[in-house]
Amino acid sequence: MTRSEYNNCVDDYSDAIFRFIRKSLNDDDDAADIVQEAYTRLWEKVETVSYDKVKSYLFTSAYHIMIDFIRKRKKVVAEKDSGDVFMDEKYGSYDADMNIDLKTILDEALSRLPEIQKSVILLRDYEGYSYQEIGEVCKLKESQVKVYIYRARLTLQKYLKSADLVI
Amino acid sequence: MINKENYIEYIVDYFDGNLSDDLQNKLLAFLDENPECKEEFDNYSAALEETFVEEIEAPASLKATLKNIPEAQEEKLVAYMENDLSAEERNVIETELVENSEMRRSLYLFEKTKLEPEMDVVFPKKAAVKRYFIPPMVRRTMVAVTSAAAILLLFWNIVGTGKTYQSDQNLVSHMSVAPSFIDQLPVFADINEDEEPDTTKTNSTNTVIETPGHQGTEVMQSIPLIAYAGELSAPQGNAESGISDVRTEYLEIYSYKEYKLRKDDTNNEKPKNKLGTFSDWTNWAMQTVSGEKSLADNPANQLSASDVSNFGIQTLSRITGADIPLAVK
Repeated sequence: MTRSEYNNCVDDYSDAIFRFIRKSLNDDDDAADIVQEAYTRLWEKVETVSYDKVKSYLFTSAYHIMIDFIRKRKKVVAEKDSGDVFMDEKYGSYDADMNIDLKTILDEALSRLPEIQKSVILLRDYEGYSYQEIGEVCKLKESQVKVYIYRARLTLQKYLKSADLVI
Repeated sequence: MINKENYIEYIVDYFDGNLSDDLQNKLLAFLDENPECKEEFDNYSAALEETFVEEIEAPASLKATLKNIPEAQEEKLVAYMENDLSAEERNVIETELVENSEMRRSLYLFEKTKLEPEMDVVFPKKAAVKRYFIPPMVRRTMVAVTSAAAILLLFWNIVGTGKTYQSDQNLVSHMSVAPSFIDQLPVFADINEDEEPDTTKTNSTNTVIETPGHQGTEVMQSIPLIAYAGELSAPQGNAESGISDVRTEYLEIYSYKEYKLRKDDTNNEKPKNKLGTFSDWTNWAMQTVSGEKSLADNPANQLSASDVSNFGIQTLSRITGADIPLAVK
């Protein structure tokens, strides 16, 4: 990959990677640092990474940097049964007349997902990745990706249902 | 008659349901008497059961029950939403959706879980991660300039606090070097450059200060932290500053000068801008061209090395936005 191609990668993919990491971490600064680190690693291997594989390389690299970062912070979201993820105190006394933004509720629900479920569903929805592509990024089998997506959707759906947001 | 030559045929007929009750009883009795043949019977039975399970058609009532199990329905809906189903399976689901309002509601909620990327969120450090080609010549120049600046800073840090600067033109503030020490310097009281101090009228810690560029005297108010004895005779170094006595001595001198300069400022005697104004430079240029003045007469020709360095540092600070810890007043 040439210098010019590398710079094109910055223009083409950095926003998407940033959105993915930012949504996972809920922190702009940390997300920016992680994306920057991913590009630094790419630059170090710029001669060995082919241009047509670079998007996957960047997502994979950023994802694993993020996982390392989360582990270091010891803020990994504990695995929960989908049934455990319901309304917290914030929405526990939710009044049906209140006009709570669906996106806000969905973000809240997303933040409660286990890290792996959050990542696969973000890659699926944000990037439209296939099960195989998600598996490559997250080092999972396709069947595992499918299960995680199913569990994530179920959790989010139950959260929405519990919030009684939708008619 | 069932024997070891023909018992296989009876076993097949048994499982096909073609044996009468009498023959079935005779076969089972034969198998009890011949365990090796019973093993054959069991193997055939097991193989047949597997086939049977595969081909079994669930009754309609059971199918309806399975369809109503929430987990199964949710899994199908997620698969439908994720486009994991074949066309035939999709048709089945869509038919069920028409008939089942609860299922439609469930699918609606699942579709709401699809996340939309926030396209207005962009990576803020694009410029920082991009790589630009810098010609070798430019790179070498940058390295040289950076090195020169570093050397200049180092030189200033070392020499600027030494005995080299004893003239009135080099008034160095060491606030960044030893702020705690400066904070503890004595507070000067009245200045009266025409009178000799009467130290006898003050306590023992009052003293006369004479500096290289100033022969006047000041009377200091004593403070408890620092005890001075004699004029400029190596005051007690501040432990926190971590600097030598010689350096401490000159810190005092320059702090005094700084104080004096502040006093001058208070009296509206602002120091002249040594760099000259734009008008000065214009006049000098015109006079130089006309032969009235030489290059050496430029408005900044009285600048010392420290002035030039100071100007450079201030300019560098302004350009980089960094707080370079050296300031010259």
